[in-house]
Amino acid sequence: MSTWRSWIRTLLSPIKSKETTQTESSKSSIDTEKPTAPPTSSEELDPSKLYPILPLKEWIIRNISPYAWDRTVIRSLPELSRMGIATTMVLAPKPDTELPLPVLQVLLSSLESMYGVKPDLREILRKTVTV
Amino acid sequence: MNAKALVSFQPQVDRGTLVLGGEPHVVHCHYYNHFLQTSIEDAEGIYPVEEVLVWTAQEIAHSLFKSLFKDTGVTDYRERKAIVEAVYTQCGYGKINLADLSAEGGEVRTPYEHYAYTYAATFPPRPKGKRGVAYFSQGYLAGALEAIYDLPLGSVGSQQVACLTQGDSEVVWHFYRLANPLPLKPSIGEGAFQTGSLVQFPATRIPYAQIRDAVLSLPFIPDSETGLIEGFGVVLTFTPGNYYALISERHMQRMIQALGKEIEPLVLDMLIESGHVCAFNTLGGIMQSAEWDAVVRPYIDTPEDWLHGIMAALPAIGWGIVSCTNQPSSAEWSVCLTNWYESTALSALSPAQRHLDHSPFARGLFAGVMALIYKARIYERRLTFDGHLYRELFGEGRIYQATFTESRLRGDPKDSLLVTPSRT
Repeated sequence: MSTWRSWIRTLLSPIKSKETTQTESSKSSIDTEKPTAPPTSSEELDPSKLYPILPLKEWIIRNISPYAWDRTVIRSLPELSRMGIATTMVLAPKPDTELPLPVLQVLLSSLESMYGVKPDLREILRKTVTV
Repeated sequence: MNAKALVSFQPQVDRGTLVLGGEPHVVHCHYYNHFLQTSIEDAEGIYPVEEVLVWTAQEIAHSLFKSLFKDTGVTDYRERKAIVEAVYTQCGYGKINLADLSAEGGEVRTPYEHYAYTYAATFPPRPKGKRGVAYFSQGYLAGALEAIYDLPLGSVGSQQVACLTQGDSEVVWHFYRLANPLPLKPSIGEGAFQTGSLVQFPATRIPYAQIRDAVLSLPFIPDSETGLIEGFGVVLTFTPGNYYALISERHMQRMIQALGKEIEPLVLDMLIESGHVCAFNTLGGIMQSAEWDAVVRPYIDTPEDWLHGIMAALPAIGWGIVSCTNQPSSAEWSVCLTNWYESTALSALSPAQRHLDHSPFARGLFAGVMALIYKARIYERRLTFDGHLYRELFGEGRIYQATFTESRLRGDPKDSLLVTPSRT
């Protein structure tokens, strides 16, 4: 059964990228244990400021897949709803859609729980935001 | 009684179905099974997903085994259990022993269950406390238990208490009688089925009927130890098509109920994606198999013949009958779907009971096949079905898209699908 094992592992395993921090580098996962979070550069962002969400969506689509974004959003919806964020803002963000940092962190947390991927948010936002 | 001898699929060539116990079964691979299940499971924080994944299986298994016991005239509980065990393995779900079950319930444990085994072989254990992945078997066995003991549908509750995906050595389910029955409905069985015939397209040497019959004769034999079916480089199951159709439909309904209509495109997108996953793995695997080389390849003259060849195989795996409405090309592929299993299942529901107005799985599937032919050029090179290729075909910008130009679920007399390059 070696052939089929390798496909889904490569498809859903942590993505290697200079913008990515792999929290469990030896593992591949669609649903991993939550690791003890190391400090990430997203924690250096200002929690009181608003940040564009589209760059994160584009990063996920480009580096993982379109459905990874869909899955991330679905996983995050209950928490976002508790935070009072309108579903439409996350479902179809526009270039000028900006949301508080905790919202982006919820999305990142979902992404990490599914794919073991923790992209460097600061790096992703670098081109569009002055940090 | 030879339980194994009583368990055989009845191919209905004029419908493109494989029927057992009144239920049309379709062949799918573990990639598709996991993808669809995981897509639904992602919504566990939004609604109780077991009500879709487990209950649907319970409804179908209850109807299936009631029908099978009636047809075979088997009334003895031990013999009925033997039939369930044989069907379970014959369908590639794994190996089970129901000896410890009674009308009051009991426990079933196995180291071999399709979802758990293929997941555990691929991924690290899921977080402790998170339930196991054997939703389908859980519901299936609950429904089977009800049928074995002539209990009403919905009278048995179930729980998965151990899973290979959590590091346990076995999958374990508990079954118990409920004081208040679950709100379940009998299966729709063969649904609003259509009949038709496999049309030999004139502009190809691909012998449609010959290929269908060759695939029908393939011995998909479960492994004697695991009860799992390996074929075409994947792990296959024969699963009631109604299960896939209904969990897709019910998931969509529950999501809209919880979050409103704006969630629809997202759910639809995931269901379309499941078609890509299936095209890539199951159909891609078939197109690179030794069986394909033996049966289809001798008749292939053009890239389009790959499309004809794979269409000819689909009735033999229970998906319905597919025919080209004109000669396909890299710019356009137009097909007519007769008795497409998802449409047939959902057409059996009243319009008020359904939300999907077409089969999103079919959209992803046929677009995915086009991508394999014209983007990956499977006709001139051997492909490695890995994440890299998948992302190339379906990652940033989809190469092809499919739309239903006619849909039975919208009231049209037939399903017609048009695949064209994406305009991205």
